[in-house]
Amino acid sequence: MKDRIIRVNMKTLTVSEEEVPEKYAAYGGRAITSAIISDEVPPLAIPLGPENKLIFAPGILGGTASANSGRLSVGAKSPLTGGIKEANAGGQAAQVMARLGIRALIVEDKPEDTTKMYTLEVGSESAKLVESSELKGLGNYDTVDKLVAKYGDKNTALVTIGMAGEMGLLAASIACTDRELRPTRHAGRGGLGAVMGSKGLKAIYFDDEGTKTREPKDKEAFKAAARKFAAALLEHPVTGEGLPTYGTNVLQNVINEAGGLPTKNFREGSYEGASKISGEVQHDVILERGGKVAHGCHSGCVIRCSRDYHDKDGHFITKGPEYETIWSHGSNCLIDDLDAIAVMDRMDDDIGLDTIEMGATIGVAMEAGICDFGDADGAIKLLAEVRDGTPLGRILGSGAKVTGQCFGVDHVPEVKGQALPAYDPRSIQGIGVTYATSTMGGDHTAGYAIATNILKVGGFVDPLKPEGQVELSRNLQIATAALDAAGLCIFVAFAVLDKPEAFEAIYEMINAMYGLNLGPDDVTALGKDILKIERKYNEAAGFTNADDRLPRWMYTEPLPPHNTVFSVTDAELDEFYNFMD
Amino acid sequence: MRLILGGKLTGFHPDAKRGAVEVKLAGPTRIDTLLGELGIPVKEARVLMLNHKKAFLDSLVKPGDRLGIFPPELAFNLYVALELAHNDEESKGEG
Ligand code: SF4
Repeated sequence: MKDRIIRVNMKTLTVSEEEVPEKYAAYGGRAITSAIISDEVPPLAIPLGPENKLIFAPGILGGTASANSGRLSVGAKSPLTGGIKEANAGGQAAQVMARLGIRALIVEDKPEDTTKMYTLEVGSESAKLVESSELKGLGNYDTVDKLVAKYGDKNTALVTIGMAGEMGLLAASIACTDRELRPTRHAGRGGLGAVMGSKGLKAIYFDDEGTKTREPKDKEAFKAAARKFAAALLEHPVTGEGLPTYGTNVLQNVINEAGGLPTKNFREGSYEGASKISGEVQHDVILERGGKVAHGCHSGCVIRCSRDYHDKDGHFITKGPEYETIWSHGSNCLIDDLDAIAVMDRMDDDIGLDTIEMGATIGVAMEAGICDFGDADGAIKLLAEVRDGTPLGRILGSGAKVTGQCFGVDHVPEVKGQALPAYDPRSIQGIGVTYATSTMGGDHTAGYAIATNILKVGGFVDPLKPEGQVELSRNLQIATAALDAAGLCIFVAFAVLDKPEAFEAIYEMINAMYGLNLGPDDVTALGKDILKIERKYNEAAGFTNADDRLPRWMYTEPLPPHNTVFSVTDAELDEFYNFMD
Repeated sequence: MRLILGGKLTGFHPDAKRGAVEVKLAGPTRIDTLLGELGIPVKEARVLMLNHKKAFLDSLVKPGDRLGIFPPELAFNLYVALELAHNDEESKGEG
């Protein structure tokens, strides 16, 4: 089957198909979402207006037998940052899309009747819009229940929005169902749920009936490379043992001991309560209550960092929760109660909210005195306000920056309007460069890994000092962009950057799949091309170097316990894009 | 001193599962000596954080200090990986 692009027009309520143009031939995931935005969405478009487009794309290794290749890229002009956005999600949607031969699905324009909501049904032969007013106002869990009742629980993958997306809130996410058909995996960052809501699209149903794993051009070569890749992931201590056993939240203690755990709305770098909500404690609580560790968010994941969290009576509450969520709703708000954090994670998933943005927002609300630090019940009530769409809820659901502006808070952790994640850049300077310069706004994902040999970063970079941080961050961001285009989960980076054979296996798989002849330099070139497209788009949207800065207080308020400030200079930050044409 | 053990290293102290534990020190003690007393193999102590800063096997721990010990499978994230890069560089330099 030849790959295709599906175009859905929400004004005319029609669906059309086209071939993948030559210029996108080697593009998948973030490469194709960003390229289409750059080619088709005017940089000055209003994010919730008819000119914006919402693009879904699996990676170029999606739907294949490669391990961990089922990540979904969702792109649009972000209502939160005003710049280009790729938000990345797990779940089953990308695998099914790729098996259906869909390289990208573009949702454009807006319906004239804004009271109506639609579901897009996509199968191997056809794609069509159906009206689904019965889903209006529902959370993601109820929406998924209704859709599963309609389409069945076999061969189904769903993408949905909750109330936040319908209300057009800037922290709104897009949910993808996991293998158990729960809306637990989210394209969280940048408010893309609001873009979907603005187009009247409540849900997408992908029908996996009759599809097969994608066939490589060179089967034997693909098999050998895929085997090498999976073996490297399983052998590496972090991807083979640490993440499956303890999940991402194993970072809670580690980052706390490093003095880089943002605590009390980024006022401190370590939290006494962290050990009560650590990955180690979470692991034991999960097993005691009959939950699950080592759970993969999509088929083909061999790392399996996800988990099922149950309440005291043994009932499923939510997945994970992940490190970023336990930090944002926990340490950042001085809440050291895993059960309360799990309830908030569930609410975020149901309402359709980015957990990083919401935890950071509640931290800002606590700073404003709307609720006390450490008050778990108060925090849960604030999320309920968002769900109910009260005036306060709509402010909170629009993120940390808006909340700070509405309540006169001068200590708001955000870059380009997007809340900062779970690493304080005053203790970990390199991630500060990523937050400042990323085309995505305050984003940590490039910081999960460290390039040593392969990308020739080499040598020691002291996390508390500015030297070498820009080059380090640049190489990481280039590598991450390439992984996002392949559809690979960024957690493969631990093995990929440590083990040369894992890195080789990636381009060997792509070569065998498409009959290409790429080498390591092509991977780097692809990563650079993606960043160039995104940077140029943001410039045309009005961003300048002055936007590539951390909040001023990070340069002036020392963070305990290291009592350091962010000290990478503006001139150094401005060198980040030295590879632009 | 307060000791934080990560991942499977929690198995080396009866109370370490639920967070930081108090350990009595007679006086300044080298980290490798402390590892020996706890029964933790040196190769399992991949990341050492003394009072939130990187430490080495011969660093001295004193009463009132805080020490985190993490095994190789938890040695990820930018900061920690950088610490490792440092330790590796140093050990390469020595060798
Ligand atoms: S490692 Fe975690 S996030 Fe990545 S694909 Fe697997 S379960 Fe999903």
